[in-house]
Amino acid sequence: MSVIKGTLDVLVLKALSWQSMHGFEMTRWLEQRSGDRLALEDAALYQALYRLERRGLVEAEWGQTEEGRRARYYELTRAGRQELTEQTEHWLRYAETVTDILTAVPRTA
Amino acid sequence: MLRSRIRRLFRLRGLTPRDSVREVDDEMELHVELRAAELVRRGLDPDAARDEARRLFARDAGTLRALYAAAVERDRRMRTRQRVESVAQDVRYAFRGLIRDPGIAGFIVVALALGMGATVTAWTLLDRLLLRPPSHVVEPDRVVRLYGELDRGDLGLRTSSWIPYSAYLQFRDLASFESVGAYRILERVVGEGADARRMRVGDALGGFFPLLGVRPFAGRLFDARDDAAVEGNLAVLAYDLWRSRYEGDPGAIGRSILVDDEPHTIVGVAPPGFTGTEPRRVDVWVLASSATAGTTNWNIVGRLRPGATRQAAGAEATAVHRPDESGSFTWFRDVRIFAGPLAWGDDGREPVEATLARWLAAVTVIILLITFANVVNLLLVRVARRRRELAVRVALGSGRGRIVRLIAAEGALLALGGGVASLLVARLLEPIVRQALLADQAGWTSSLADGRLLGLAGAIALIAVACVGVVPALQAGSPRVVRALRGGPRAGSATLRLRGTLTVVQAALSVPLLVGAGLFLRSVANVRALDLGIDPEGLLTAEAMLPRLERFSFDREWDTYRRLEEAVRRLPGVEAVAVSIGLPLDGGSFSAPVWVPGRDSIPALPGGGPYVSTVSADYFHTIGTAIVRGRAFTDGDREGSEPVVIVNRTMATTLWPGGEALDRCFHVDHPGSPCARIVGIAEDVHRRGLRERPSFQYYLPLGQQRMFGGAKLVVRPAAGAAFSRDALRRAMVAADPRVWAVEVRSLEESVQGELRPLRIGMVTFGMSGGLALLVALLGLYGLMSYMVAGRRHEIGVRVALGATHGDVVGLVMRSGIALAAAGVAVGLGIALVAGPWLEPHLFDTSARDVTVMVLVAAVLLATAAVAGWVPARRATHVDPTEALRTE
Repeated sequence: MSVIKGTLDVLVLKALSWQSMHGFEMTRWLEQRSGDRLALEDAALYQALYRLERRGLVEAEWGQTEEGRRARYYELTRAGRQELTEQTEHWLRYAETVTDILTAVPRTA
Repeated sequence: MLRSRIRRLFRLRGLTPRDSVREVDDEMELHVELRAAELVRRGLDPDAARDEARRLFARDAGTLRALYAAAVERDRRMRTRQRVESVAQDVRYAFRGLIRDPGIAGFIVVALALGMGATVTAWTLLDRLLLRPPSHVVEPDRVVRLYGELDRGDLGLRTSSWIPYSAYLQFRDLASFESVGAYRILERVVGEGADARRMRVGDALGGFFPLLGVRPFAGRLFDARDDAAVEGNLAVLAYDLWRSRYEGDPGAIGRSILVDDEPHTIVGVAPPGFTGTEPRRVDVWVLASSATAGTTNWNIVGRLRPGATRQAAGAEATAVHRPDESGSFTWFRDVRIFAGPLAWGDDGREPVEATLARWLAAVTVIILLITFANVVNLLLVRVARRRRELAVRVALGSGRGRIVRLIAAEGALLALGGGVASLLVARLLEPIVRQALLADQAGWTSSLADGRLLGLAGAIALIAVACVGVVPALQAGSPRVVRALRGGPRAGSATLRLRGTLTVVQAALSVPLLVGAGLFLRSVANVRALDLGIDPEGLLTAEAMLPRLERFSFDREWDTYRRLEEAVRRLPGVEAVAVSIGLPLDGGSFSAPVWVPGRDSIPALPGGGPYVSTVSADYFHTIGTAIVRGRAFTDGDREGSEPVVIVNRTMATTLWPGGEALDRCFHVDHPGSPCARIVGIAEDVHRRGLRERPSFQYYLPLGQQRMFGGAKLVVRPAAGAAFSRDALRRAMVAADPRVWAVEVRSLEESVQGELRPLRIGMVTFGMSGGLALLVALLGLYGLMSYMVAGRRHEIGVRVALGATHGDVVGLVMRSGIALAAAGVAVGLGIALVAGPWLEPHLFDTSARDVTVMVLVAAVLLATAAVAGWVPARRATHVDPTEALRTE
């Protein structure tokens, strides 16, 4: 199942709302949460990160992994948290509406 | 070096696109490695795992490229945001710092505002007078005016723009010119009856407008065909006159307008602001009639062909010029012709106002630069004073760049504040300067409404920001100053000496300017105190325009004017009225010789004359000339009665020393005339103007003189009475149906007009002198503050050794006043040397006027005291222990 356009950003924000992590950690988190159902090119995730960074929704800093490797860690900003709340609400309402429409039973005369 | 400093200043260092790419690579590498490790754990062999990890990351190069681009874009955007934030923070800090020290901040803003405002005003003037071409003239650079120049040997050069019509015909076909036009501007009476006014009327030949390229606002202008046609008299209204007289009614075109009592048909309206090629307003343009074409007072303008030069045109005109053998205009015979730009005046030179404006512009720029230098110094002093705060910041990790940027932000804020305030200053200065220098310029628009000048103001403000913001910041960033920040300023003696010299120079610069202002002020006061022998305040003259024939009969003129006098006397609000032929301060003076029985001749006096006025009985009372002995004329002194005369004091005392002038008699005009008996002696009167030399003046009663005509009424309105010139005009027109127009003038205004050069001097010198004084104040203050900061240690020691506050204040102020005194001495020296150059422009005032010099010196020393006071007070706050500990 491929990711619907525009939803990757909010998924990334959600991931980072748990804790700050680097790119690969985020990939693993998404794969695990989706039960490997989401087919996602890794590069797309990074693009989403850069996009969010540019908008000031996430911040990045170089740090070290537990194994002592140099890695770029991403963190949610206050604006990012706000965005996540709004986008989550929006998504839920949207999904509900679409679900309602798609599951409506045609009335037979 | 400078570049790297500026780069540091603005934090240009940081991520470049290459860095962005490298970061992406690093990130990607880790990702692929971790993914591969995971795949290996799932059972793939390392090589395959690696390939698979790569494939999972990005299927093709396009994806990678997009990724890189996103990173580059991200970094670019973030750098910008960071920079804006950091600048905003600097500005906030700087603002807070300035607010904490509002005195200095306000002072700097005011100094910058005055400096910049004055500069903008001066340049506005210069632009007006010299740089701006006349409105509505197409490619004005190619339009030139011709002048005749005659070398009269010992008498010097005579240059004039008056050229005879015959020469115009010769110059019409010069190769240098595309076209040639002629015009002249005369004062003529426009309109009829009580509505008639003397106006500036331009006589133009048909080719004049096409040459300029001006387009009509409405209707049409004249063109070359009109010269040949015999359609009659044509007129074009100036836009302003059309608005005021015809309320902008398009129906005005086709109507008739009287110019010097001759009807002209209005054919069009000139565009707003059009004044021909000269800056002064023109109310009506008329097509020059063939009757006036033979005259000599034409101005010739030509449009140069592309590539032709003024020099070539002048040489060509001189070569072509054949003197008119009829010889009516003799001085023009042997002239050299030259061509000048339109900005030049009638005398073929740059107008004196333009020279003044140029001078003023230069002075203001110099002063402005010195202001910048002083403000920079002052800011550096602030840095020195705040070195503790700054040192703490450095200690807390603020980089040097940060402090530099903070100072730059302070300077920029001050400069911007000054720039905004300077617009206000320019607005206030403008009407003053305009009134003094440009009294009769048409179509003045505020410089604030002029895009170019607003641009100039903006540019000056930018330069100010650069000078006042960047320079101290660079200075503060230099290692020397940073070292000073750590240790406290210890001004080297060389630096102090340099700054001391600069301060002396500034003080010295302001002295001659202030002396000049004082001398002009004194001149104006002298003029005010001058006894003209008449009382011009509120005094009006009124001349009735009569059909020409009426003018030629003395009896008719007397009759008419006696009737007019009666009519005006009955007007409410008129205190007194009289008739006079030959009025003082009115431009024309009549003179007629006298023969005194018992004298071979009478001495010639430097003021000329003897001048004669022919006046009605109430004249002396009306004009305010005192009769010192004897009597004034009465209504009984008229045609047919005993010939009588009143002489002035100079005439009485010179010709009849010993006071026996009364009842003596003399012959007027020719020895055979009846001997007129002296019945009164009047006070001497200024006939020509403010500068008057003694002359013989005498008065004859109206009706007893048949030499001169040209009567006028002198009217003195009652003080405080609501009396309008229009009422005067209406009364005179109503009194005699043959009066077709009335011209009313104010004698007071003609006196005021003579004050104009003095006012110009006062304004230019006053403005630049005041500015220079302010700059000197600023400089002294900066220097004193710097000295106090540098001598904290010494002052601390003195205080520790028992010096009182008074001692400390005295110590600081003495050195300030000593510098100012040196400046005053040098400045007064300059003023004394330059004095003779100024003296001819003054009125009854020596250029070495002691009072003025003493006052200026006092003002400067007082300024120095003020400038020294604040730093001196600060010096008393030096805590000896603290000052000694900072070592």
